[in-house]
Amino acid sequence: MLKLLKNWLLQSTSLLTINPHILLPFVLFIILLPHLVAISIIVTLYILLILAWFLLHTLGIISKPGQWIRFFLVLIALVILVISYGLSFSQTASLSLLSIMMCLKLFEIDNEQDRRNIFLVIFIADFILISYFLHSQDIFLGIFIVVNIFILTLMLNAFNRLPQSSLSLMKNLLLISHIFVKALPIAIILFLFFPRIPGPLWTLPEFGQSGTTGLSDKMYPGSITSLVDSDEIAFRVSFQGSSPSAEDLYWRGPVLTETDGFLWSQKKQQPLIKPFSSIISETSGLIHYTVTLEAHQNKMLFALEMPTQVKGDTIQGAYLSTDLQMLTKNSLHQLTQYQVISSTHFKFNTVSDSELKDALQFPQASNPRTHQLGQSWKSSLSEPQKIVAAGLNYFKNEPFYYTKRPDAMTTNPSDEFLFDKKRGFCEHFASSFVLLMRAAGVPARVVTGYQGIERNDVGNYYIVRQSNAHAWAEVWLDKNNSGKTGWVRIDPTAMIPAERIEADIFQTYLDRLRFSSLNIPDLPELSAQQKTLIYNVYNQLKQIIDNIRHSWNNWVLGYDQSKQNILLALMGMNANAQTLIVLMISCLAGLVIIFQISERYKKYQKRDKVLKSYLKFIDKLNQSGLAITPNEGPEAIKQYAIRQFPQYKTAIQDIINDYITIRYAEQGNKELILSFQTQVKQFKLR
Amino acid sequence: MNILNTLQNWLLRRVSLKGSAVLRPRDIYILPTKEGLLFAIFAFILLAAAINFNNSLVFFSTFMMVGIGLVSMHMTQKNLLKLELSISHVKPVFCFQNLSFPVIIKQSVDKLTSSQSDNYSIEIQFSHQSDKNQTQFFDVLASETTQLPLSLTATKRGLLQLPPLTLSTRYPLGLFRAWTNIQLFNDAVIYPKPADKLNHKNISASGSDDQGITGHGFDDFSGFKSYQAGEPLSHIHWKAYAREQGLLTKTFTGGSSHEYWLDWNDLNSDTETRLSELCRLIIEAEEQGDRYGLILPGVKININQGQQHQHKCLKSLALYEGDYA
Repeated sequence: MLKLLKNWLLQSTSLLTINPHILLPFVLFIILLPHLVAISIIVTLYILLILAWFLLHTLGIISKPGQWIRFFLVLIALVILVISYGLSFSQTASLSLLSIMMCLKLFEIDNEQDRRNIFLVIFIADFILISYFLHSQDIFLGIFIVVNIFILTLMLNAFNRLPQSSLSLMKNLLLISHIFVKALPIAIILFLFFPRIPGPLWTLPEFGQSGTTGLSDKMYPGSITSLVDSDEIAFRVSFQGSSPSAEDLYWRGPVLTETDGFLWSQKKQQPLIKPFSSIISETSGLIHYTVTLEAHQNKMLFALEMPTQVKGDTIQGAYLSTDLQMLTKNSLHQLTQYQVISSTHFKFNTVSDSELKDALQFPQASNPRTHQLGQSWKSSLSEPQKIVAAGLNYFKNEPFYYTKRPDAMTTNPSDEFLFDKKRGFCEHFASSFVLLMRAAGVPARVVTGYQGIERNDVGNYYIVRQSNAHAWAEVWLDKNNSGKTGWVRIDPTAMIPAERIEADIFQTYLDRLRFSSLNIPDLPELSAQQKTLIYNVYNQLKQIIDNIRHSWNNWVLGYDQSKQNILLALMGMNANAQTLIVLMISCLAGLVIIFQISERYKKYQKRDKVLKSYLKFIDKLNQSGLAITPNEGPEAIKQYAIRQFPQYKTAIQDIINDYITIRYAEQGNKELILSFQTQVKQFKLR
Repeated sequence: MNILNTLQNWLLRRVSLKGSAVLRPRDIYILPTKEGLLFAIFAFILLAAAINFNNSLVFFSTFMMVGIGLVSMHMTQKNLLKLELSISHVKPVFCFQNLSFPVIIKQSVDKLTSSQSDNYSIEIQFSHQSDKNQTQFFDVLASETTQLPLSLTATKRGLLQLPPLTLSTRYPLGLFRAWTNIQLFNDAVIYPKPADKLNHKNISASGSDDQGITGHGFDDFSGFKSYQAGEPLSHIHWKAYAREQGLLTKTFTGGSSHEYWLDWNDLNSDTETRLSELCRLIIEAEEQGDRYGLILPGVKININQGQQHQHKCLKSLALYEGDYA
């Protein structure tokens, strides 16, 4: 069946040959497309102009630029690049330079036989395609890249069809598919066993920042609110053992101490020098888990409060800072995986005395009413924990609403929120609370991060989305008769009673899908039950798809030295580079052997028995003194043989007629083939 | 490139002579092309990037490129494998004429019966020739025979052994070049160059009758007959051909009655000139339909006529080694 299809395709399109030179600018255009849409318009136009020029040249409409014009084209390109990117050496700029140089190289292709320049263009195109992976490792981008590498290989093949470069579509397609199918196991073996080295070998200049949504190290009223509608995934977590209880699910991110009353930012972070155990003590409730963090172009890693240990191949040099944030040395431009051990119960001591002083700074001439309220508590209540309780009660008793659509607050946001608007999101609650505490003389700071998780039942892991972004407070309690001391986490948002949480907050990711994207409520004939059913199916599907993505992230994108070690351990081998190299070479050798055997087998199966018998028959004739080559055509051979051996006329006639019938009329007739074979076997001259 | 040339020269010294040859794996050499090395450099840069950024998909794409390169290497070699080369009969020519020898290339029976695949874009050229213009490209399709008209200018009378040929291919991706050197056995006979004009005074005819070898018969035109292969072209009645009356040859009377010996000893000049002159005489004698015999030192060919006889005489001239005898 498949063979029939293949033959049909070969026949129907064998005439369809294309000049690859004309195809080349189109292919390059498609390859550059993801880059072209992301860069400045002049560079895009310039590249399009050159490609169009080349196309018109190959069509014979205009001639290609001479040496001097080419020189000026290069100059113009450089000027455009400097205008667009300045003199910085960013990834986008260098990719643009490479793209332009590749396109200009097209004009240096002298003639049909100029292999070097054509090859160079194709290799650079390959290179540009693969370099897209440094930017994003999305599955769909991956498919795009693979398809284009396939097309480039097709082009390469077409240019090697000599003397006249040509692209016979179906034939070449089959050939290149064949090459890809065979190359795939080689690539897989190399991928699995090529020894991986943890960490970057050298640091390159920062890439051009691309706008990604996510938590930043700054906070102002509305900054976290802007994330609440984002379904984007911040990270995924797999717990070893059971997941922690809901009240412990605070993922620590940037700690914000400095403020001008509006903008909150973190202090300059230094690696922690003091021994960790002197800061975090009395730990219990250890939780082991793996975080797969999406690229966020920042240096922060997230972990449950409080991380005690972190490791990962791609985050060499990650450290805990003086504020106990987890940070990496370099910005994270791609998916990163790391293992953390966190302790949910701990006593958090100060790192330095200046830390407390900084946590008491109240910005001058801002939020005067907030300052006043805090001061009043300071004089009336002496103990810090009473002040904290007063603060929390203020939120509880006054009509504060938790909403994701608060009004804009600009000048003195804390005053506005606490005394006028009283409707806000977590950052409003956290920042006002911290300012109140500071005014009342209790050291306090804002902690941002994520709160909560969403379980994926299919893959048994958890998802934290950008909509989980949260801000809470940390206050310093030095003596406490009835509770914790040290830095203590206070979440003022949690004080708001359920009736004052506006309904839209409850609309989680899937809920919103249920109401908006699916549009099901608009269909009146659906009952609630049906809606639930559809919702459940959709939910299940969503989970399965995310699970595939997670497995892909985990085992393909996140495949590194530690995964390699796991693989080796599963095979019962020592994890070191020598083992890997031996394994790699022996697997490749094994592949070659398997390949050879399968080729032999295929040869054996494909062997044309009819042709073989026919050749044997001709051999028999030749042994009796004839000189026939099999290429002469059966009819001619028949005439000749009968003339030479008239006494065997019938036998010769039967055999050759049968052969013609089998070959041209009844290809699959097994009986005929069998009788043909016996006839040849029995045929004897004398 | 120099290293490659040295390698190729060394390999050429190992070429053995064969009547026909089926290319086996060990006959085929394979090395990356310049473009292949460029490909390797690109793959290496990508590998460095993959290691540095610890980017799995860049790793994978790089390894895929490596895989594609390796598979194409195998296919390039396979593109030459099991081809059968032979040389068909080479027509003798005179010295300084173009000797054409058709090289016949087809898939060996083994390949023919086991797979239906074709071989594409194969190059053939003389091993010692770097002139690209002489290079020919061809495809070998399954169960089809390809005949390549290679030609060579003969520069010396005698037996000419075809120089070694290089068969190469870069198909499918041009990253590797597989080649083989092969020298096909043949015995092309190169006759001496016929002398331009003959000074008949030098020749005193000897023979059973006393007729000279002057061209009497030319004038005695007797009529037309239809052209037979091998008859001298100068006798073709071209005007009749132009009138589409078919190929006719003019026949001449009297020619058949001429019978004489062409004797080496009747000529007096140096060896090569004498051979050239004899060559001219034989051609003319045959053209006139004379019966003639040839006497060389140590060689005597009896009086006869016809194509076979002419070839026999000319061949003995070609192979004459009187200088050494």
